[in-house]
Amino acid sequence: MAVPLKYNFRSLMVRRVSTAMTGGGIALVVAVFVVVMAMVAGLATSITEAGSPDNLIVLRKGATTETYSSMSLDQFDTVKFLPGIKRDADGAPYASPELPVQVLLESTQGGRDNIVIRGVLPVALKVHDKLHIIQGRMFNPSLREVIVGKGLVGHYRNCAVGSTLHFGRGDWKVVGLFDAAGSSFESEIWADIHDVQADSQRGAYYAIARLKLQPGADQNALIARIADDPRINLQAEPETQYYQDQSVVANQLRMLGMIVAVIMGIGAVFAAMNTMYASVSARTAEIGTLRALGFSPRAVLGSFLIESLMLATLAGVVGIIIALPINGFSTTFGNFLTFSTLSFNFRVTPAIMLQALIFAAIMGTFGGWLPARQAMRLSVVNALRRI
Amino acid sequence: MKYLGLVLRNLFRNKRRTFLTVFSIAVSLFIFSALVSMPTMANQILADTASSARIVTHNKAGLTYSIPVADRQKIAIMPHVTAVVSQSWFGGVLHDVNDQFPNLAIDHEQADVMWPDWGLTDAQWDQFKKLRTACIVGADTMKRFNLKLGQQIILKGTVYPFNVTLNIVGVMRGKAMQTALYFRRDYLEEAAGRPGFVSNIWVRADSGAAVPQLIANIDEQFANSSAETQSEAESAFIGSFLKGYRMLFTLFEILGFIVVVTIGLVAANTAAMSIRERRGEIAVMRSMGFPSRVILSLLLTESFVIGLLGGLIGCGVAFVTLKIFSGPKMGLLSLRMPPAVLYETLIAAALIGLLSAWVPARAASKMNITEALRTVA
Repeated sequence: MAVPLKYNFRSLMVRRVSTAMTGGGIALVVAVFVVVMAMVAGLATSITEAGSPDNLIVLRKGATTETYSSMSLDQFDTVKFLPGIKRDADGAPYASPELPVQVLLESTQGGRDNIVIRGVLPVALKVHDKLHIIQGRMFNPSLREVIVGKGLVGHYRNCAVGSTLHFGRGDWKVVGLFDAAGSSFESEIWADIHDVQADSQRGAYYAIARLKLQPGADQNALIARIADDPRINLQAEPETQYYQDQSVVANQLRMLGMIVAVIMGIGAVFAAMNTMYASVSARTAEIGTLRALGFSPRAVLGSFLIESLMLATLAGVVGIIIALPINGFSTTFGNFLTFSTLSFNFRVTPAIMLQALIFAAIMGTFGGWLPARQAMRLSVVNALRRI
Repeated sequence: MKYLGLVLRNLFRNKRRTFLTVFSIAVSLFIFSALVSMPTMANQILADTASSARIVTHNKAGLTYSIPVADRQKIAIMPHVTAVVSQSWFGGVLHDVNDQFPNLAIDHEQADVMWPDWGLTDAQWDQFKKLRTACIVGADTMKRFNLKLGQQIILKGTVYPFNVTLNIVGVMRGKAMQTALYFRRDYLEEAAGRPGFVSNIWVRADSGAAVPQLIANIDEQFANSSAETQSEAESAFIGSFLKGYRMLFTLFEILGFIVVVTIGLVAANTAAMSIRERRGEIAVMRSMGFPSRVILSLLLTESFVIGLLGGLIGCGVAFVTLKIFSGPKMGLLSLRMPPAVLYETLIAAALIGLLSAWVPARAASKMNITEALRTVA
């Protein structure tokens, strides 16, 4: 027969201050965990959402990111007509050459940040199928018109449709805004590839190419062909894999967040243990009474464990609620890999909240275990002597 | 300190509680000192370079746009200029494409005038100027790839379609970027087919006071040209690289603060618990004649010692951990614990110890003796 839960609940209430302080400590640890994981989730989503499962990205051999890649027009023209690449009704392949360049753009908070200007051709809209123009229109070629990712609006000046941006070697006109499913593309500005080539004086080169595969195409054969053909000699990989590798920064941060949370959790466990030990020694007489009434040692153990769990889980819920307002908070991060600034939103996902609750429960269990065992082992006679 | 013995005996009475408290303080201050190290280091770097007389001139459009090397001559004849060194980013790797570190090419003629704080001897600078394939490497990169002075290395070009063969003539210490490698720009220029463009130009003014005017002069000189320039003082330039990490640093500082508050709560809780338990004993001591002051200072000293011990352990472990794990993960910054963080942490530990026991200790030292004696077990 288990000790009634009401007993545990009322015990917690009796020692209010102690309960509140330990609970507060656990709540804060849980809140920190949620905030850090939300940041990592937002960053990771922004980076990995950029990849489509049916796209290949083609880079120079040995380049780890598009920032350090380049390919000639001849190489691209040869790649463009390879079998396996999706084509539209007129036979034009879904192959998008791109040239991303970092430029300094004025931010609303003063100062300038590195932002990516991606030189593209109109076919890019077909290859990047998660990207949609939500306001205005696509730019026309060679007129220095641009479309702006919605992540930049509000953080950088002159981003509204119709305004004039100043970067690179001159002025550019904003003719549209685009949405890209929360991916890193939303922190970019897209312009005509020839305008970007001229402005950055890179000459007639592209940086990368993106290819959309035909449904059912042999991806590996195409990758092998791109690598082995002496006229091409480039490196191709699925976009999803490319962006997985790019999110190394997010992974490092996740590791850091986990380490911090675990260590703080250990600190909180020590605190919980302290409180529970004090609680057990203060309630020795009560425990003796419970045992004398007939509750088994295991019931006492269970009771104290449940009390600790109750406290920790409640504190965990409070911690999650404290951290919840950070959801959707938009901020920027300097991505060293792409040498540009990435805007992303904190994301508190249901998975994170569940992990936080489990974390709180683990803290409660570890904190309550040893004290509960001590309570279980109290000899009834000695305990009752204290009354 | 005639009551020190009493303080220590009291601390060892409930060993488990003392241990748990010291360790929860140690753990939390470990996190605090480790987290706060990065922003503190970054702020220190910025403070160090604040008084520097060096200026960086780059293309106004961005750091990936280049400027004509001919701009050097026009800058060199301006008043207050003592040295001009142009710099081009190379971006090569030693073995694996994933083991990146900053490597750049600089003009050799005035490099020693520009950067006398790089910890190189005159003989080494001479070597750099005489040998076309010479290079100087930061101490961290030497350690990372196990390089020796005098060794010949090959840097594989990642963006440039060729490799460069270099001889290490000096190891940089002092204020130089410890992860960087610099070789001669005339070597790079020749290998690249003399393009005539550079990434940026460093300019040294004769004094810090001349810097703002010089910045204005340089930018005015190249305004309305095909390569408009933006010049900034060295600290602003470094600041712009660190700007991307601003959010992360702010987050770390806030986390650090929360950690300190949390352990404050924990310590206060424990102090209150232990003092409450000893109510009877304190009453006995007071009735024996110990003045309130002494009781108060006894209790506070106990708590202070616990806090300080926790702080020393936490800080010490963090210091060692950072030293072991201080690989150049962040590229520019190699992580160490600055002394300022050490002091901050120990002070925080001592304060936590004192403040957490303050309220219960005062109450205990002033309570009504007869009331307290009633609760003696």
